[in-house]
Amino acid sequence: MKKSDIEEIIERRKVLVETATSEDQKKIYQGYLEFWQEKLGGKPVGKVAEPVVETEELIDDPTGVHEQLKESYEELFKLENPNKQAYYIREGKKLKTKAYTEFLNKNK
Amino acid sequence: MALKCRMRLYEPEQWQGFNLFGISQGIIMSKAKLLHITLAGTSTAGETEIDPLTAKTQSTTAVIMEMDSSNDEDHYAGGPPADGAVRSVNTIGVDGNNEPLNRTEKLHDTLGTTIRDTINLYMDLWHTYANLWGSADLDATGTVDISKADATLIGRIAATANEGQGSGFKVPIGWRAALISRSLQAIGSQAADEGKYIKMLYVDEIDVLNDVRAFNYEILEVYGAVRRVYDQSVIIFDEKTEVTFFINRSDDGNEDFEAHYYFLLWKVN
Repeated sequence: MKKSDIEEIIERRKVLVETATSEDQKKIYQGYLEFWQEKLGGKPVGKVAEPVVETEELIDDPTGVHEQLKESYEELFKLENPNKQAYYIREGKKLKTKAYTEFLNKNK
Repeated sequence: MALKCRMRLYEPEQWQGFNLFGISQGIIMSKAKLLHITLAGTSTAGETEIDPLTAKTQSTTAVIMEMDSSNDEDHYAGGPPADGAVRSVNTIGVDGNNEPLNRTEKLHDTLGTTIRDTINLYMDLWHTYANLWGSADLDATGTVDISKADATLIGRIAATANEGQGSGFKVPIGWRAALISRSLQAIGSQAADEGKYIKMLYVDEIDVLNDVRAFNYEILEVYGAVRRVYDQSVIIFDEKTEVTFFINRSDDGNEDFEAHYYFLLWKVN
């Protein structure tokens, strides 16, 4: 198909998105628009980027060495900072406190 | 002979005056429509769906479709006398109000290979066939396609043909359907140990959820000396029931067949 034909279709799909009579229809037409835009090689307009979810790195620790190191760091932290906590719980997740993170960075 | 389907949807004004199959006036008055499905082809070993659509629409939102041909000769305008081959296509589909309807959709005015959007919106599409021709030819010069507006092919009218794909249908929301008559006959030779059967599968909303489909089909079979079977017992289908047709041979040999199914569709609420 010629580039000019695709460009014409894209213009028509834009009109469809603008004149859609319901949210469902708009969503479907938006999909059609993006399909043709991608066909043209361009970046789809109006496509919402997926949010970046930061995840903690999981390390395989079959020997338990990493776990032991973690425990000894925690003990050291508690010795140096008897009034501070190494972890806190938020929404069921065990997270490092700011003080403990700083301690780990300092002792890397 | 390849497996083919012809589907026609008749509005009440096209069949009024006939006391058709003794249908009550109450049903006829509630937007009743008659759907005639003709199935033909050659049975081969193994169950095969008869000329299905390439993809199904079955959307909950009515949207436009795209139409084009692989040959510029299939185009709408020109003339007089009008030139070109296939100029427009009749669609049998379901509109935004859940009503099954016939609609005419034109190909591009001058170049059939240029995509033209349909004038009408569709929630579902069951079948297409050519309904207007120019002076150049009385069937499609190229393959005439109807697709979703992202080029997903739904149904195709093959080059040199006029009838498109699509033998099944899904009863629209708020409608009911009744199978009121059907027949199957052998075409050509059929030896004593030869035969064929059509399986009509009907899967409603509950069957889809529970996957209990064992009893949701009806079989018509011709075998040996029995060359034609005919049945007028009624089966009623609720909204959202999907009806599809399959052919298989009973035993030896591949033979030609022809079948007719008549459904009544009417609006319930």
